[in-house]
Formats: sequence, C-alpha cells, structure tokens
Amino acid sequence: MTTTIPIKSPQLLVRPIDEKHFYVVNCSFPNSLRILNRAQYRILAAIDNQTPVAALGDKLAIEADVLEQFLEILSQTEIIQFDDQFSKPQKPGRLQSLNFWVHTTNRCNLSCGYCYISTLNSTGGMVEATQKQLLHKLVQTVTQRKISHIKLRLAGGEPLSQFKAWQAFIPEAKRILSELGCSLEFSFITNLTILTDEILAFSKEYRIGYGVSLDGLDADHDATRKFRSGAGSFHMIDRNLRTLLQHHIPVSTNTVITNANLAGLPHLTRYLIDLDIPFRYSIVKGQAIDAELLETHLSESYALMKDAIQEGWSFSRRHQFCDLKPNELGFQTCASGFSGGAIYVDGTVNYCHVHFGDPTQLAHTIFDDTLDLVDMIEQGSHYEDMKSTDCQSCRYKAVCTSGCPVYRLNGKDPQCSLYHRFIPLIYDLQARERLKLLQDYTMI
Amino acid sequence: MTAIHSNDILFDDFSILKELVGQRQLNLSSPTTDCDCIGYTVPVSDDNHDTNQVAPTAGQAD
Repeated sequence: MTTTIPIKSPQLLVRPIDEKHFYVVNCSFPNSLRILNRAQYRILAAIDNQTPVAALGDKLAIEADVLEQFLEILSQTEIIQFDDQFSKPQKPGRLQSLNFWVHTTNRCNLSCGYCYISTLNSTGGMVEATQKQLLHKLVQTVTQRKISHIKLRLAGGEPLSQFKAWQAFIPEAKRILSELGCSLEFSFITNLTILTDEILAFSKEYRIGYGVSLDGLDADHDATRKFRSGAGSFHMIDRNLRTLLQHHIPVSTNTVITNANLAGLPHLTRYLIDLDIPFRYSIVKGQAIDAELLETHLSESYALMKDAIQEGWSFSRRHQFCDLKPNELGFQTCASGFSGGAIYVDGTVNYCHVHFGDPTQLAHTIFDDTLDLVDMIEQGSHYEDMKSTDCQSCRYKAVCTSGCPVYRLNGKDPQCSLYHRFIPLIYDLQARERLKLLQDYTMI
Repeated sequence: MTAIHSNDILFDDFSILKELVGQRQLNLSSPTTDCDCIGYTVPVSDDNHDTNQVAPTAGQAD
C-alpha cells in the first residue's frame, strides 16, 4: 500500500466547524459526512493526488501503518480512493418501488389565488369505477413487475373532502397488494382544514402520513390560503397539526416561498422548530422572487436552526430545502419518468401533476389495458434527463440533480446560484449536529 | 510520535456513533416524505435507515 497514491474525490467539500474541528463530505457518496480533528484535517489537506502513501507519511512524520489505517477509514465512503474510480448515484437496474400522485378530486374548500389546478372545481371526486380500475392497474403492475412497495399520495383539490370515498378503498387495496408481496402506503397532501375523529382513527390504523401546505404563520398563511368566505385557515391548521402530532401520526409541512410570505420565514421557522415537525421550504416556480430578500430571510431562518441544534433540535431529520438531497443523494430529482407519475381524477396518467388538464401534454389512461403503469411511465414524457452541461461537472450534481425537471431553465434549476450558497450551509449545520452528538457523549 | 497522536489520527466519528446510537441514526433520508415532490426510494431495512418521521417528543407539543 505504501506505493499507492491516495486520490481525493473531486466532489469533496471540506470546511471548518470551529477552531478545533472540520468536516469533510463527498457530495457524490450517500451519508459520507465525517468530522475531522486538526490532525486529520492536516493529512487530508496534504493529499495532492500525486504523492504515494509512504512519502506522505514521511512528509507528515506519521507512522505508515497509522496513516494507512486512516486512509482506509476515509476510503469507506470514498472521501479518497486508491484509484480514480469514484462511484456516483445511478439509476437502479430493477425497479422496486413506485410512487404516484393521485388527484382524488377537483373540489377544494379553499380558494388560494395561486392554485395551479386548471380544472379546479370543474368536476367532483374520483368515481368508484375509476378507483376500481386503479386497483386493477396496481395489481397488474405489481404482478408483472415484481414491485415490492408502492406509495400513493392522495391530493386534489382537497383529498380529505373525499375521505368517505377512500375509506373502503385503502384497506382493500392494502390487503390485496399485501397478498402479492407488495406494501402499499398512503398519504394525504392536504390543506388540513378537515380532520375528524374518524379520519384520525383511520389514519392511525392504516399508518397514513400527512403532507400539509403551510404558507406562513397567522396572517402570512391567511393572506393566501382562505376559505371561499374570505376567512383565513391558519387557526385550523395550527390546531390540527398539533392534533396529528399528539396522535403520533406522521406529518410534515411544505411551504412554498414567494414574495408574499418570505419576510415571515424566520417566524415560521421558529414555530416549526418549536413544534418539532419535519418541514420543507421550497421556492416558488414559474414566477419571480426577490433574490436579495430571499437570501436575507433564509439566512435568518438558518441562523435560528443553528441555535436550535445547540439545544438538541434535530436539523437533519426535520428540515428539507427544496428538492435537495444532501444525504441519500440522487440520480434524478423526483420519481416522475422513472418510478412514478400523476393520476388524474378521470384516470389520465401524466408525467407530473402540474400537467393535469393540459391537452398538449402526452398522457395515458389507466383504462388502457394493453399497458401496465410502468409501461405508461416509460412511454410517457421524459423531462428528467434534460440537464445542462454545467450540471454534469457540478460538485453538487447528486444533491440537486438540476432541480424540478418541469421548471428548469436551460437545463438548470432557476435557483442554482442560491443552492451553491446554501448547500454548504446545510452541510455545516449537519456537521454541527454531529459534533454536538459526539460532545454530548464526551467522545470529542 | 505519541500514542495520543495516533489516536487523534484514527478518530472515527462514524464508527463511534454507530456503536452508540446505531447506524440508522446516521443514515439519513429526506425528512419530509409527504411533500408535493418526492424522489425514488427503494424499500429499506429499518435496521439501516431511520424511517421515523415524528420525534418521540412531538406529541407533547401543545
């Protein structure tokens, strides 16, 4: 080994945490973040991709076997390799799981000005015959493709307005697919204004998760997410979020940041940290946003998260920024085009739910019995691989995967510059969280 | 070269924490799996990944 040359991953990020500690992460290898002390940092900094191990040991005055052991530790997550064959996230050869957005209804009890559903309130919910055909297609696909896991995200419109219509479907579909060796998972993508004891009990029994749209605290939320009467909905969301948490029902919130709510982001962050709920911030797509103000208020919010980490709040399990995947990494941004798509209320299958009702988009239907659901994905639209050449050489390409494929500009996420500033910050906070854990166990 | 120096060099935070808290605490997945965009996930073993989305203390919030 002494003649071999250690090579650093070209996707390394190495940054200080405090005066004594650093971290290193290979942005192309899942869960590779490591805390380094100063002695280790010195070794890593000395690796120049040219000097053999023995010469490196001589230069740093480190015994060869100790240096070799350290380099072995680093090579476990490809921080370094002994050749230049670094792995990168790849599309798996065999599809094991599927993930579909299901548009359960065009009806909604709110009237948000920005709603992207062009067919909102034009029809009612998915009829029983369409539900039955959906189950038939799931069974057909699982049987033909040996799929072991499916997730259906029930959305709309407001899916909880359709609870009665799905109350019988969910247990039956879970049972039938379970008999085929496939687990079926459901979640509601909801405005959370409708939550009854019956829905709660059902959600617990069938382990249904909740993704809740939240635009901000109090007036920030009420400014955009109103009932048709004009009344705001925040007070109901707040109460129902706490109810779900008290019943240990998996719930997370999703906030789309726009010019209208970005000033309230720090207050919202404090609220979500205090609730100890997983939350995602994403940036509005398809419309302009004040970049300077966005960076200011995001920075304030991340400063609050940094303080909360020192109090024991679990940043890495509670916060997600846009579609970034700093830990598990990815070969593409979402399931669309590979393992998922969107099923409209009438059984139309689209690449993405933002294409519902758009006659210019390529679509299939679950009533076509010549194709299973995977055929429909494969033979449908494919935006996912349209990425810029800059992205191919970017250090963070497996973290951001060029963003949402539907809204890329010249093959890039419009927020590319912002990601380059905030991805290192996200890793900084993960490293602080790790360091605190080590300090809590007096291991450092 | 001192033994302490070697210990410093061979400090392995991942192995230490794997021993103390388990690998599933260290292998992180996206925190929000019910948001409007979701990536491809393969079925994972609970032994290796933390699939718990809600903190044990979350129910105490009021």
